[in-house]
Amino acid sequence: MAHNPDDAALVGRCLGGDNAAFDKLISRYKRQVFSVIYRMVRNPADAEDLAQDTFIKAFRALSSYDPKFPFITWLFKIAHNTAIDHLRSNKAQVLSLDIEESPLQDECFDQTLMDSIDALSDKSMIDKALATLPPVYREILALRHQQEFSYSEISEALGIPEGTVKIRLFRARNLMKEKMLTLGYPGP
Amino acid sequence: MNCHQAYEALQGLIDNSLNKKELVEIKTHVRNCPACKAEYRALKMVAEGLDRMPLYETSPGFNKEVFRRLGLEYKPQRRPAWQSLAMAAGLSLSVFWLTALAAALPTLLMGAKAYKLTQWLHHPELILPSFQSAILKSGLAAYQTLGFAAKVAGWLLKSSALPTQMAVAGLLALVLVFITMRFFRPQTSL
Repeated sequence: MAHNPDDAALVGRCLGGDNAAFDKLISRYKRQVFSVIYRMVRNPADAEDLAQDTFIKAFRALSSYDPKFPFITWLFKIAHNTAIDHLRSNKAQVLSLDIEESPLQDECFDQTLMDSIDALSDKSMIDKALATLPPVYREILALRHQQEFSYSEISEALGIPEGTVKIRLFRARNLMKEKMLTLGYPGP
Repeated sequence: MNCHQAYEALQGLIDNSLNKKELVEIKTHVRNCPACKAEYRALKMVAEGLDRMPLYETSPGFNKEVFRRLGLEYKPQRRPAWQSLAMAAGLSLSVFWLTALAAALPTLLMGAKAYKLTQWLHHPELILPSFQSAILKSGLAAYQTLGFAAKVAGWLLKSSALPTQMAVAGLLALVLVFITMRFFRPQTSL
């Protein structure tokens, strides 16, 4: 992920009362924040509200931002908590981490399944498969593949250990493969 | 490395997070194990699909609404003048080249005879109202400039063949369009 060194200076200007600097920060990151939240909540209107909530909370907490860390990971931490709170309040399905993130099991490779994945290159199919995943899997895939966050940046943004990041990514990608097949992509 | 270890290492391979030793081990294993090779191809396919996920655009009043909810006065940012100029220049050049290419298309498709048949276009004011005549003349000017650019391209390529020259000119047009489009970063709206 491209970390913008100018962010800390903009935060400093915001703290000094320069609201135009905050406007710049919003413009710089609103698409990223909105896109990841949308991946989680799957509703454009809710996603936009939650993305705005994220920036409002960020503005009010700017004095607690530590410029040693990238602003974007700090912002995504707020976005993550905001989206998770929303999902919980709506009693949406949030992944049970105890079950899903147990240590990796020894799994057999299914040659038929793997070969049929070769046919999968349709972007809309990726979207459909992604939509069926639990929110936290959609979120981590968006952070890794859409935002190009590193393991450590994801760890920082989500407040989870790097090991958990790897396991969650592993599970999310494997689930994606399975979902793609159940969406009707033919085997060999 | 056995298949179980490889299964986990494949994720690192996809994420480009392995060290040199791990990289050599997993690559050696994948090369010799059809099942792991298939798994790698499957994961790679999924990852590449996910890499193409678009960024979505927010509504136009997003910033203003955040400021309103914060109880702050909103003063919209202005695009820097150099960016506006660059975008205008890029667009103009793109339109220019595409117009020139369109004007040259009959000659490209039908050869020099078609060009001779359309010589009347050099004097459109004789048969057309002044406004349409001016547009046609602009197109011709663009075409002639393109011809000059094509000759330069041909000279650079040591080739006098018209198709080669026009292909190079066409390529130039595409490059200009691409550069201009980079300024207008495409966004996906929901």
